[in-house]
Amino acid sequence: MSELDPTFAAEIVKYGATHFNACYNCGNCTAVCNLSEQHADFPRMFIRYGLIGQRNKIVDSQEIWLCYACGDCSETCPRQAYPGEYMAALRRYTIAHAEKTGLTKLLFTNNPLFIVITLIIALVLGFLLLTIEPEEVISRWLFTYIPYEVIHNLGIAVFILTGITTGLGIFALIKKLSGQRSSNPDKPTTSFSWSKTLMAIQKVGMEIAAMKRYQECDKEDDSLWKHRPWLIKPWFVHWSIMWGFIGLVVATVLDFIFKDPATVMWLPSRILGTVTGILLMYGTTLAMIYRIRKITKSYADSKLADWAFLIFLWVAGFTGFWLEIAVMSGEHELINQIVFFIHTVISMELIIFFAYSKFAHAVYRPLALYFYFKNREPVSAT
Amino acid sequence: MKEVDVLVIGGGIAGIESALNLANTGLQVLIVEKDLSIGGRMIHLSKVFPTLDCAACITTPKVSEAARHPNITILTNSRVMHVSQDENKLFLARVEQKPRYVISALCTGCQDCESACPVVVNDEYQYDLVGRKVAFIPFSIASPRIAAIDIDHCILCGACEKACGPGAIDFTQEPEQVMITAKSIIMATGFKLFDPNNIARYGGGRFKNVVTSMQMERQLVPTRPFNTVLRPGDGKMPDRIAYVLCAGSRDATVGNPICSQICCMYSIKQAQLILGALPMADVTVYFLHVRAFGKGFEEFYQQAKMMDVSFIKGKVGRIREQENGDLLIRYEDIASGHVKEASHDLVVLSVGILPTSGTEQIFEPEQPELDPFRFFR
Repeated sequence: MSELDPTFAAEIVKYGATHFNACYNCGNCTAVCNLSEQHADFPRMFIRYGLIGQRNKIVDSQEIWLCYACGDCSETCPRQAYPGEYMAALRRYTIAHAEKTGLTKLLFTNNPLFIVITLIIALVLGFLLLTIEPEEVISRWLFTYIPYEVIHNLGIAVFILTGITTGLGIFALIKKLSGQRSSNPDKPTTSFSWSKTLMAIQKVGMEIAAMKRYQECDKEDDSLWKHRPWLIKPWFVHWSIMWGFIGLVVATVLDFIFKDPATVMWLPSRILGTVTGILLMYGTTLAMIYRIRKITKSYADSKLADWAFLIFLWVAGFTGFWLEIAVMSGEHELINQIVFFIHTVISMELIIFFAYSKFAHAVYRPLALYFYFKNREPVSAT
Repeated sequence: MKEVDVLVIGGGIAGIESALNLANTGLQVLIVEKDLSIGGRMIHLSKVFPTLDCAACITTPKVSEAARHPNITILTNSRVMHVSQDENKLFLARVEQKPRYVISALCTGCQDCESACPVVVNDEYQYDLVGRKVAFIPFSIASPRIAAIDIDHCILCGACEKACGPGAIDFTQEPEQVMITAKSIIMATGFKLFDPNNIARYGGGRFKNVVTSMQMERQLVPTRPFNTVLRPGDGKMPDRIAYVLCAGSRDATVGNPICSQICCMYSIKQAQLILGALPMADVTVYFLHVRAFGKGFEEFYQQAKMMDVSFIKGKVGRIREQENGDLLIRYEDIASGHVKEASHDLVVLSVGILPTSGTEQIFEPEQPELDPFRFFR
């Protein structure tokens, strides 16, 4: 039995979907999409679900996470119903729907209150950083105002907090995406098989490592990206932001484990931090340029969540490099202390907001892909 | 200065029909046609829907009647350049008649110049399916049946001049300005076909075996270029033919958000005619909604279904060319909700129609009001 919710369509609009009720059900979007395929057919069907209010068909679906928002569908939609933006809104809705505190909802509905909360958390973090008395003191000019020990302990607390929220989220998500709650008769219910599981894990790994599916986007002759170098293609921008971020988290964790804020450039964790930091800066800078210049349909409709995501990452990366240079040159100036303060607060906020922001897609998408690869039937053409 | 009662702009079926009706009541009518022959689009069509009457058989008697009517004057190869109104609300029109480079009074329509001419270009009257000479009679049932020289492509070799018995070729002709006064004007400027090159993902103009519905129409008329239905890429007789509806209609991204109102029906008509020409062919029509809204239209649609034409609901997303020239159509089968791909030998884009653009600009100082879709209000 499916439940219909007549207010659902209006709710989706708050998450950034516009014009989707202009859809006249032609299927152009599904057909132009290089990632859509038999038994993973989107976006048209999901516009139907949205219009008639079949909420569960949407929030329990793997399909909305198979879309990389390349914008081909929005570019070619004869009714200008912008299916790509609609899919993005569904993802925002799904993340917000699963998150009970309502914080994500504020962010994804462009509510300015989110900015206020961000600032309050920043103030709290800042207050804690500046006032907690450390047990042991590493005396280095950088830690004059913000003791290393405090950053370390507060950081661990932040990671544990995010770990708990993310862990709970993943648990609920696996239940949802594995189809246990799904009422879709099209979805095959298969018994557990080791070979399929391993194959799916391998494919998800390939996707994270090389963005194989994302590269399927923008391949067509009429695409803006077809004849451009891969270095500036959206999949590579996404790849560099993702690996830049992962690398920096790993570098930070390594610093935590060794409990030694390395000042030597050649320590492995520092090299990792520098290289992935460059990747992150490259990706976020390009992404922001694309969004400002609205280079394609998929970059034209940026929301608070997109900007918050990019600006946070960019500022974290920028201040990180600033500090690296400052530490290398050993300049004891106040401005460097301020930058250090901003860097620490922003980085902690990034981790805290992990489960409450656009970041959540980093959990949703691989899991959805895993179940998609696992349950995928061999596709035959007619 | 030539004085008429009615100036009819456009010598297609609408212009001819209105001119005949007015002339039969005793009014003096002038038809101005931009093409070399009157008859417009309809003279090139095969059959009309839903009766399957021969289109040329309806058009040509009217063309001859208009050409011989004592109250009708026809200017072909001419354009109305400017229209204004005097204080008595009388229209003053300036018509430019372009030169044919053939003296009309001397030409016998023997086509000797055509045989002699060494230059071949795309034949626009066969919608580029075949070639034509540069000195030529536009098409076999043209009216007036007078040769013309396509000066843009002419190499001025003089072969036609030597071949012409009556000495009708005259390269010294200049454009002529004709001033007209008229009490009223009928705009019968017709439509222009949607250019399929505007939809890159359908491959129109790029893939050889993707043709427009007008090119298919030409393959179905008695004066057709290949004398059967062939696909242009390799001359193979197509077995699996696809119709892509709404190619340039109901599509805001290509500037024509409205229904063209004829594509569904002409595609259904052509599907039936193809089954007459190629009885073993499979014809598939990919549609959004079949708009069979006129008298007998629904029955005509059902008749096509009974003739085993397949109708699949779903807008075609992409067309890809295979190595052997076959075309892979990707679409969402709305009935099942699944993306599918199908291979076809020949794809016909059922192109939409648009109002002829810029016609309002001949009027000065006041221009007729247009609606958002550029139709006259």
